[in-house]
Amino acid sequence: MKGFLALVCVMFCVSQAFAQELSGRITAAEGTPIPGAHVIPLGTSMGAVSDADGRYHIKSIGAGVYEIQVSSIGFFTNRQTFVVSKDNPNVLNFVLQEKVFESDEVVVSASRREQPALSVPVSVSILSAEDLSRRNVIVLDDALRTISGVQVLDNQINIRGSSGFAYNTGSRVLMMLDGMPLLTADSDGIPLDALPATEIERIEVLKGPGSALYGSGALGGVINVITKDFPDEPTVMVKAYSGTWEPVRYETWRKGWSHGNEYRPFMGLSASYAEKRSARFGWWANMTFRRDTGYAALSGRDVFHGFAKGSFRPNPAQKFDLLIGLMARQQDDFIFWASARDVLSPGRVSFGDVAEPGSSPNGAPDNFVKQISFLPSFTHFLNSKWFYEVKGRVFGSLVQPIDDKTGQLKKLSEGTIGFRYGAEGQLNWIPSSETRAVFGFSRDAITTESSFFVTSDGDHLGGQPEVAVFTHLEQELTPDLQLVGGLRYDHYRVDDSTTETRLSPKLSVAYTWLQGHVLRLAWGHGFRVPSFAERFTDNREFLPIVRNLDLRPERSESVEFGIRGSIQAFGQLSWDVSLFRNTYNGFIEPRLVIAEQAFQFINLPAAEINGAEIQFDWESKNKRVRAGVGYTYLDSKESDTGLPLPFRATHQIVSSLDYQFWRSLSAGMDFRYSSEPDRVESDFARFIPDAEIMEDTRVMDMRISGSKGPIEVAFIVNNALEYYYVERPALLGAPRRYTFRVTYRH
Amino acid sequence: MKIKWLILACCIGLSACDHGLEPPAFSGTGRIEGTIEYVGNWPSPDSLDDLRFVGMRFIPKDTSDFLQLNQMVISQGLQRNVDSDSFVIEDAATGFYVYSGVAQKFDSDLLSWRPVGLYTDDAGVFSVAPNQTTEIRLQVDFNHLPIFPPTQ
Repeated sequence: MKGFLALVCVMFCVSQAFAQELSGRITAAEGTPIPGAHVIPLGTSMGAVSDADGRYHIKSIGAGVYEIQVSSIGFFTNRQTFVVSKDNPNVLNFVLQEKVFESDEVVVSASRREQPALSVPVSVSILSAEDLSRRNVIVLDDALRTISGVQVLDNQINIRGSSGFAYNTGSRVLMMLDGMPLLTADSDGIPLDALPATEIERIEVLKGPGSALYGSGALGGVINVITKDFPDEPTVMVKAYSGTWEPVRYETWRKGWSHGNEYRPFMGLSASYAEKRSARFGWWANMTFRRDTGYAALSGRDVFHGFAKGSFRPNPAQKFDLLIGLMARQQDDFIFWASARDVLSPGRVSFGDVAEPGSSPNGAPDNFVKQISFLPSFTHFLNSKWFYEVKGRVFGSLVQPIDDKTGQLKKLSEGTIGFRYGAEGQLNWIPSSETRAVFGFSRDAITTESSFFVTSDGDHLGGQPEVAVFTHLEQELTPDLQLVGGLRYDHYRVDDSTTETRLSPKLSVAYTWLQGHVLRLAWGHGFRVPSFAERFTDNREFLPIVRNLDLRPERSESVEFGIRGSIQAFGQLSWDVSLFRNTYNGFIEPRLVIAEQAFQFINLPAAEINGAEIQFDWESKNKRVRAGVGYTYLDSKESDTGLPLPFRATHQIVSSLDYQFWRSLSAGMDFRYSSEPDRVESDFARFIPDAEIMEDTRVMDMRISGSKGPIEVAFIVNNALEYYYVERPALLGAPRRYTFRVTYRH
Repeated sequence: MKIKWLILACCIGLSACDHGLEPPAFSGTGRIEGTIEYVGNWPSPDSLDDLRFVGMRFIPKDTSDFLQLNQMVISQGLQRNVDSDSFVIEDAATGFYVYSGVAQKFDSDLLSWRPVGLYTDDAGVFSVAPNQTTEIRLQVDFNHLPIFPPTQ
């Protein structure tokens, strides 16, 4: 021991006398940089933490022989012996192997930082850019339907039955774009059109409450859309597709609509350019136009959107990012059918009125919608242990009704304008490779003005401002045992006289059982503040709806036990099994309130959803065959009545198979099944014919694609089985359609 | 060769699959022809937003049941300030109508309706059969309005 100490002393003295600099880069096996890794010359007090590009610098290291250790959460610790010399450049690069066998997926949503997907202590599913591309995902909900445990009812996204169907008002799933909340200001709805489908790197779906990290809206889960980074070489991508809706099978349905016997076309054109101009600056831009004539009367839409993202690094320790987006959409909203015998025609709800010539049924209002998103962020690595991020967000939407007779836009005062804006700061502390902590705050507000809303005090500006502070702690107790905790405090102003506060905790444990097998136990709270639309809508134009100023936030609590793993079985087989129990309190749903003689959003009594989920993914050794199957079981009930919650499917199956059978020629299919809900409760059914009808969903999508050089051609058949189902009350699900797509990449 | 057979089997399998939702069977419709006699003093025009014959296949509990449009047939708007009027409802759903009469909309509110005269023959019940015409007669006495909600 004395000898060792003496050696250290000698090394220290020598190093001070002949100080050098040791630098290098730390990357994962596939070359992606690993930020935040700890680099330590063993036996010294020196050290460094890698920056956002994975680079590190240890200054004032003396010449000599060192054993350099690099460690990072989620990767095997690596040690290399290195001779620091005053004559040679002292560069030492490391390539770290991830702890979980062959996993290359990362997520950021689970802990507000990038980490290996298989080691996170919560349920999370990922869709990659490749998954989206081969399915020709045009709108995000097409992609989400392929994830186990996720069910989409029109625009309402359910994660493990969280949402049910609440007329697209107030999402119980928080949608984020690059970590920024992206819900419409008026109804807290998910703006699926306002996302750059071709520029998505991956979609992360966090199953379970995420309010401890993200606050309101994350009651049932979080969907985080991560946009692409910048390629090393300039890249041009042009994608064009065209297709047609097949006329429905039944003459009874076809004859209800004058175009019922026609093949109805749709098309889209998208162009992107991306480049990394230097180590400091990269950017991409995308423009997309879509036109869809729709498979039913008055269901067409034209959409244009443009997105651009830029990143500037004045030095390795600092990074500015900016994502901006614009979207314009003209559309008919097909709200409800005329009847189950006339599903392609929108119905009319009026007390015997005769339609005025030129007016469209009130089951399909026309709107012109514009949306803008502006998401700047700044990251600064202060030193080896601290870095912070500051993010801003502005998301605006404008909805103008279109006059049925003239086709002209009505005045904005007859529509809705809303902005959701805010900022957050996040301080990251990495005292050691075993410990990480995040401290943050956020401030958000909504400004909405609508002809449909009557607020309590007439103050539309700064409506429902929110302030929150949060913290998130990760501790590796042993190399195999990880403990994660979090706490968030939210303070909302409901109106002039009312405020709401919420404390959202979470706690989870992950234990690496064998190499590639992780057990997890997670507990957390979620909540959602009522949207403007739910609280303040007061209108009798279509239906009698009255506001409810007493509406309280919804709350949820979740416990989950799961295990995920990966083994070699004629290739690689990954699996994930989870058991979960979610309890809810104060669900906000619209009901016909007899005392008010009108519809009103009210808080419902407690409910619970217990369930299980299992997912298998397999890839052959030669990587030519990939298959996946997931099953979700839900047992839901209202606490007071014992009845199942409405619109929840007890059984849900998603599966996929892709086979590359000759060079670049490949084919694949997806199949999804969800059982008919045990209970359908719709006040819709009082006045809309057959709105109580629901069906099993059995949809198969098939695809074949081939590529030569920069050109890729694909043919896709959606709903190949021509299976008719009900998307949500009084809306026929999408029938069979054919798509031909050509993509050019250079 | 095997691939051809596989494709053929897939095509047969796909075409033989269940196709889910189908149009429900049509139970037919009938026609209602009605004659209305008015007595008493007509209400003021500002409280006479609309006037229609309404046939219900259920007995309403309160005005919120006026939203059960799936269980009702409604005529075109009726004439006002007349001694009598008639109406025709084509394509009325078949079945028994147990609570029917002339309804007055007295305000712009969607649920501001009240009955002003009920069909009372045959205990207030009539039926509509497929491709048949049902004729009914009823009287509206504005001086003696029916009690609503009805006593069961």
